[in-house]
Amino acid sequence: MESLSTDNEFENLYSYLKKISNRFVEEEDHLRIVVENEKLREVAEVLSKTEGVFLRTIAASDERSVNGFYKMYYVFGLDRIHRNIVVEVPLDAENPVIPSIADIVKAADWYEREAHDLIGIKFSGRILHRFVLPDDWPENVYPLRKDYTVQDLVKLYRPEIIAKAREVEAEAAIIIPIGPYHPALHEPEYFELYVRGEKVVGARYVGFMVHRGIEKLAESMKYDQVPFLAERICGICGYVHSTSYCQAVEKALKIHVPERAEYIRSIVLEIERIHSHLLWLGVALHLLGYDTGFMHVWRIREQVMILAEMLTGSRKTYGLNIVGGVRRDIDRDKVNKCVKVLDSIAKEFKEFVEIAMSVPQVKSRLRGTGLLPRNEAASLSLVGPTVRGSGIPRDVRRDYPYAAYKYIDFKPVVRTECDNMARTEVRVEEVFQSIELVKNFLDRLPGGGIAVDSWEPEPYRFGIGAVEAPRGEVIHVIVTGRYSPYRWRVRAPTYQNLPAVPIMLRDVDLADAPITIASIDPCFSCTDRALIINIEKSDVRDVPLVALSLKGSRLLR
Amino acid sequence: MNLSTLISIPISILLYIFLPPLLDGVERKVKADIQSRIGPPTILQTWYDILKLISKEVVLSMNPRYVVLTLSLSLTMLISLAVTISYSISLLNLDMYIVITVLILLLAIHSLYLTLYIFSSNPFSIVGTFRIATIDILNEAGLVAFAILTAVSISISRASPRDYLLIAIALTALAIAVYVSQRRLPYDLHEAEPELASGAIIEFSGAVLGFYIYSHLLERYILASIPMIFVAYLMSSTLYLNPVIAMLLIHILASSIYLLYAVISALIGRSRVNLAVKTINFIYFLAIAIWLGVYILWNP
Repeated sequence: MESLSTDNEFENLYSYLKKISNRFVEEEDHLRIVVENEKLREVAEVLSKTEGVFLRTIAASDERSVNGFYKMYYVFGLDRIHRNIVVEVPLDAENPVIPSIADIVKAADWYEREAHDLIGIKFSGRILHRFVLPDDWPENVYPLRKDYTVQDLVKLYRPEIIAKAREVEAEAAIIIPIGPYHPALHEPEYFELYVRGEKVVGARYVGFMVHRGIEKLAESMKYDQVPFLAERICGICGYVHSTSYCQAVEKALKIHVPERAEYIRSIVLEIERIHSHLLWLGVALHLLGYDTGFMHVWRIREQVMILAEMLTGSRKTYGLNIVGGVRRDIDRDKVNKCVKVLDSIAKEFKEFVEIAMSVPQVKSRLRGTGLLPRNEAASLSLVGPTVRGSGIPRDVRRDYPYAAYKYIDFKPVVRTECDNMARTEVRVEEVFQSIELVKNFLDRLPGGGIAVDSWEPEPYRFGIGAVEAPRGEVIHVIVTGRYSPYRWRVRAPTYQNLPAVPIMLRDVDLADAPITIASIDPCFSCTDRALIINIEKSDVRDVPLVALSLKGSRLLR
Repeated sequence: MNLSTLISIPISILLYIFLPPLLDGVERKVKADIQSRIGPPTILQTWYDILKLISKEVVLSMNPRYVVLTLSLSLTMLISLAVTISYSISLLNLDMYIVITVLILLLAIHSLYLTLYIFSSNPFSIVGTFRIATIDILNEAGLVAFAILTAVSISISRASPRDYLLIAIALTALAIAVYVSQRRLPYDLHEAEPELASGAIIEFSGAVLGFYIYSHLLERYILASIPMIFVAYLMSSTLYLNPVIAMLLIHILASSIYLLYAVISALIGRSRVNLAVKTINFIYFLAIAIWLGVYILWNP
């Protein structure tokens, strides 16, 4: 890996950071510096003005029980030299106030609002309101503080639901938390489009309809249980989350994963990308009214799902990762089958793309719509095909190589047109690229074990795990605990990309608004749970929607 | 009026009444085949759907007077249209008055549909209503123009190659106008983008939706058969067909055109209102220019 000090461009930055703080730690993939509260804005200013520095994530952590203060971790990425700069700011335990940097680093906006909402950090220079938590959440209860366990929080909040059920005089109500959604939408989301005639002149997004509090939940789970929870963050690309989590723990605890396991992880990650991109393409074509394309691309995708099931035991690539490796191996027979199926997918997909992309309505509605200028994409530190469609070659596989990507040469797919067509072409091209990558990995699959024999947790170690998900960079930050993660911070790509949607919606025709929103491939929360409320007994029970669905099906028989 | 004509009129009317949902069932199967799906279990599925919807309770979210009045009026007018066309094709008579009556009835039916959409209780459906009004105004001018142009081409025809070419140009343009009138992809803009606005139909359920679907399918089939009136007239002057055979042939041709439209609509995506206006304008002006060019420059 390239050394930071050999790159002249970042040498000055490196010296500056070491000068401003005499407390720094240099690790293999990152430099951690502790900065005083008052110097944060100055550091942020310098970092934001340095070309090629992106804000990757921010994590707030309650470390009062460890060292007597709260701490903010600002993770900036220097993509070109594959390094992170982690700026740590300790905050007073009694009055955790820190200056806001959202006016300097645009991408910090949501992170600050979330840290305020969930952990009670105050940001001087801006007034913050509820962001993630519901409006009726009790005042001064910050769920990510260590003052509360998951059980405490359940007791604190759920009685409100019963009161509401009583309000509507429900004797035994089944409440499905729908939120402000429309039956035609696939997930809970709320967009306000300001329209003049057929032109969208402005847009506002309100999210976090279903916040599941998984970061808190992980604090009460064992290290090896968390990958199964992490996978459930996304119903489409869950494997990226378990990989990202495992990598964060492995980095923090310096666990060396066997090379074969790294290859297996990379193979499954690319298979997940293929199925996710094909899924997206189908949805996009459906939104453009080209349902024949939608049906055919999903037919092709079905082969990928079967492939995923063969390799992982699950169509949804779940349950494969453990800290230190993977749980299932790939034998020679599976390798041969994979190559055969991938060749067939490549051939069919090529024919399909030639037809679908020549449909006049598809071309005319993708080209020139949903413009996202390069400078806006850079200032918001966007990720994935969204940023690559605006001419910026950001890709974790190349910028922060992990798993088997460090053993190969990799060039991200980039388009410079900045429109919906550019983002579509990036994804289409990436399907072919992923097929080639999987074949390459299968060909070079090394021998050896698939997991480390054993490992020991060590508390208060810091680790970053990042994976290039189909939608862009997924980044997990971990502070280890003795038996469970002490603090686990998850940042999915949609979190980073959503603030760009209002920019993309400016001046589009109303008819092109759905495809423009879809062009970032948004993934909101997908796994709602229904609540059964028994007013008489004041009892609230979680019921998976699938159980309700089966009950409904039985009634029909 | 001879016996054959007397028989062919009621048969034609019955075909108009029963064929459209059946053709829709065939369309669904054909589309499913194109899209690698199985589709509905039988081609009678649309009939079953309509009958089931009609048997359900009436729930109205808007002023009933606008729904019941407009739907019943448009259905009555559609059946009158079916009768008029059946009468015309059975007599193999292309009277200009019949052409004008058919066109006026069609425009009136579209106006009634617009009334139905405008008075929807869904405030967002106004977006879809304005879209379809824009397309309708533009397309109906084309529909009328090309129907008259076809009639004129036939009436001035002296069976020369130039005259056949003029008829072919006018008929092709008329077939395109009919396609747009059927509100198929890429011009199904009144119910597009259900995530944002959608149209008035989203508010319909039960019997009202059943009657709406039926009248919409009936209208589609009647529209598909309009070019056939002209084809019938042309055939009558050359082949001297028996009225019953001619009428059956016309229904077969109308059904074929209907299914051809279905296949075309399965192969394309949805347009946008400003794009649709540009495309329709371009095609119609081009058709008129070609027709005039051939008429003026080619002297037989």
